[in-house]
Amino acid sequence: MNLFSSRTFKGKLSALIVMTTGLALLIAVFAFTLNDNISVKKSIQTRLETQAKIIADTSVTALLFHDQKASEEILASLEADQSIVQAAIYDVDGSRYATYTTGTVITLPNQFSSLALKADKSYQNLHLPIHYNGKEIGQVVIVASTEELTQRIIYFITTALFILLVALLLSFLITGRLQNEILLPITTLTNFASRVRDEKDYNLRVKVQAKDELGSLGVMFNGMLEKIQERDNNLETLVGERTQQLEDKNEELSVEITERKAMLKMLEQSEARFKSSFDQSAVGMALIDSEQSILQVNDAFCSMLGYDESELLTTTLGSKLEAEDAILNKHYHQQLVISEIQHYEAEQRYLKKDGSRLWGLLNVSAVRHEKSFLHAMVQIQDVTEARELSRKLTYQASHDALTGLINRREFETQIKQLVASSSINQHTEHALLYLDLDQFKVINDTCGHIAGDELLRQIATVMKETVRQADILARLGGDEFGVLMGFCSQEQSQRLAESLRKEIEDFRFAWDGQVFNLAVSIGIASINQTTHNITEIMRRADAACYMAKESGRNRTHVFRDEDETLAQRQGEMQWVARINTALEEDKFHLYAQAIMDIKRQEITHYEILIRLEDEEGNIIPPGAFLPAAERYNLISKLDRWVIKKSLAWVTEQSALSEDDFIVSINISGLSFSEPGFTEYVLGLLQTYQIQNERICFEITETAAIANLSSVTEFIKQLQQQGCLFALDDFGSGMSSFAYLKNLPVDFLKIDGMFVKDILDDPIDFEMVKSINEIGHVMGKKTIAEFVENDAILAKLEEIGVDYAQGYGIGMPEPVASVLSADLVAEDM
Amino acid sequence: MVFFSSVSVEAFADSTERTDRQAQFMAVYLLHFANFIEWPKATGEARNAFNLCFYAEGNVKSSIRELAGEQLKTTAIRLIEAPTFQVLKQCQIVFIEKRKVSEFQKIKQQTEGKPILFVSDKAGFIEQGGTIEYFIENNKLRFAVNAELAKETGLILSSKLLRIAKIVERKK
Repeated sequence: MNLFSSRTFKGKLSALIVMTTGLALLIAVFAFTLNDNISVKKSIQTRLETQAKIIADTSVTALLFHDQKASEEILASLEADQSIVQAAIYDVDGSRYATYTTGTVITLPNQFSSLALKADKSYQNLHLPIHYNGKEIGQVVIVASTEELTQRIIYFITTALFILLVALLLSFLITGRLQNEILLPITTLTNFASRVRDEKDYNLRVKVQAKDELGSLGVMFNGMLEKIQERDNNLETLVGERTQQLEDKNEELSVEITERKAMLKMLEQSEARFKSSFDQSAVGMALIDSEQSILQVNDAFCSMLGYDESELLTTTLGSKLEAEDAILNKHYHQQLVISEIQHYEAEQRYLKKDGSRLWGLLNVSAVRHEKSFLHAMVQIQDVTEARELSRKLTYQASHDALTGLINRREFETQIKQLVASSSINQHTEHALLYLDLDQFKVINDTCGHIAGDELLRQIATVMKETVRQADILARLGGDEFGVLMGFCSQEQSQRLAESLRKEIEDFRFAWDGQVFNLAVSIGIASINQTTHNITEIMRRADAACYMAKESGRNRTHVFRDEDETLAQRQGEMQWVARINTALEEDKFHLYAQAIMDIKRQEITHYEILIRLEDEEGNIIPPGAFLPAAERYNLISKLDRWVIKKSLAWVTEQSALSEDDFIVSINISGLSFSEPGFTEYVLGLLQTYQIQNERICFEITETAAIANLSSVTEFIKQLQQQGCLFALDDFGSGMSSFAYLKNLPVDFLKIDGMFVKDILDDPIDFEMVKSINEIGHVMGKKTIAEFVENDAILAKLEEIGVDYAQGYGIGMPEPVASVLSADLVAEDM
Repeated sequence: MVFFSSVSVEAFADSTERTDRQAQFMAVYLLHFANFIEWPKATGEARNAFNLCFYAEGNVKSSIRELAGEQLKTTAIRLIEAPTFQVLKQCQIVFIEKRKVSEFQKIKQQTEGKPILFVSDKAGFIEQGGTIEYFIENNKLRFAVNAELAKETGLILSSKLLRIAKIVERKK
């Protein structure tokens, strides 16, 4: 039962006070009992300990002089303490020597053992050693009854409960008394309030007796009665005033009603006039409701769409529109209904009853009454013819009449739209291709304009088939075309440009019994966050196309902005941080590319290459970061890293495989001018203790010429150690034959630019051949780079080149997988 | 007047040899006495040594000799057998076995006024002016103390010792 469920305040107050008192006392009793229990226990323990100490002390001599009687006398002194029921002294051997007992049942063991003295609920044990000159010569054991403690607790609790009862009774009595003091004034006030309520006499006042809070309550109550009385009076005056006002208003209203009647008549006349003009209007007119249901139509509207009035009155305006237009229309209409707009106008396609389409210029305006929508007035004009004309004009303005492709202006508009969208995302990239036919002028000149036009039409068809569906192809004028590739990475665009080039290369134009080959030069410019300006984008693509033409036509060229050094440097600065981080985090990886001994048809060399792993785990080729590394003096750091890692790898591989292979390590020209570089490399060779004949350092021809003295010095020093040297990209410097005598290298690596075209280009073929011959005359081995297929390899064998390297021989692979793959192959 | 239980005393005829156990106890008790008696602050050499002198024969003598190497707290106990009169003055305890008790009066004269504890197992030793006298009661070795004499010579006997001793007074 809830103690506070008592309905009177008095009851609640009593319960609260009695409960609080009771709880406080209970807690106090519990705490005191606990405390007393602990302290009594403690004091008994202390007392027993003291007793035992005295016994131990006084019985020393009795034990020493073997006086059992004296011992017993000493123990007998315990008689004074009634709680002690037994005691004994044990001698040095643990035998019981003297005993004291009050006749209680427990008997102490004859032989002392602290373990035998077990604690009991009703007895407490204590034993203490007897010392003489620091030696233990016996034990005192005391057994005490705990009855005293129990009795004491019972006594304590009984007393406490008694006090509790008395306190509760007292508090109950005092509460009763106090309540009268407090409750009486409240009761008086309550009675007075109900009297005021019953008599509704606000002139009554309560008599205030006390000066406490209840007294002020009475004062406030009186104040409140005063306010009510005052308001009563005010109200009466107000009612009188209002009644007069109401009578005045009534008179005004009756005048107004007469005026309204006259107005209504005028309105009816006006509506009749409106109705006839609506019905007879030449413009199609209709009234529609908020759901676009047709409420009323005129004859012009019906005849425009070929329906009867009755047919239209059961439908909506939207149902007579092309689905696409209906959606837009509905959207506008909703805005009109909610007053977002006041009217709307749109050219839309209407479905006539005979199935044909009609372009109608729709004009809808809302009719409202006091801001709430009543209906909408619809007007439709047939603009089909005007529309058709404008469509033709638009097409002509944006398209090239000859090829049917879009023209330059439209193309630029498209780019503008794409650029606007590309700024949304920083990863978005598009590409712009600029194509220029290489032999168009020849055909145009020899076969005439008609042939030229035909050629352009055919080429446009070829290109249309080649580009992706979403790509935008345009004729920019003359023999120039443009392709806009939306959302297309540079690599993709290059690939697509290449396929376009190939298609046009393969295309044959036949005219008047003649067959013409064509070629195209393609410039590629990428559109990304950094490019904003359409003119700039077009210029870049144009410039790239020019470069493609300059470098020999029938090729593609990706725009590189030599002018925008700032942007480039920013890119490179980023690389500086990335290179340093990569070195710290060991994100550079060694790759190796196989080099084949052509005569033996065996892999005998590996060229070590460097790759960077970026945050996403993508492998980045050196072309991306080496220029930055060179510019910001990080190249030597990278070179050192590569040499060290390579030597470590070779050492590791030597342990695994008996196969001897030569490892080529590239060194940048800048490293040679760096003080201490030679010493560093010599030191590494010392550390790793590998056969130095297996290490070949590759130096580019241009780097060697630029740093001739330091390179020569380096070569000499390391050749003394047995290291080999190769001159990289030989042929690109052209002036190089003269220097070759001064550079005591072991290998010449023939520039891949010559090698890759030796099958087709007789000059390249001759170049490779002569480099090889001169190299052999000078006692150097030759290595051909860019060996992409077996045909090139066969050609090189024919010339007598010693080694071959390239994708046709082996792709660069992570060093970890290079030799392991070989080992597996050998095992098989 | 010293009173001894006649039965036990007669069991100890002067000429008879003590049992080994009794002889051992007599020797060890001498050490115990040293622990419960306080000598006045001595000067010189005596400060660093506790001299236990004895005149004994037979197994009592050998038992006392076995005390060699014992310590009194930090002080080493020096056993001196039949000391010269000169040395005698520096003894803290002088034990005279009953067979040698004839020497006692001479010893006493030589050590007049020195704080020396005289112990013997000779019946009537306290009568002759000794401090502690061993006796046998119920086949157990006990001892009597002339507390007054001890006090006169400056020895302070612990209450613990007195509690188990038989206290006697010498006839004046």
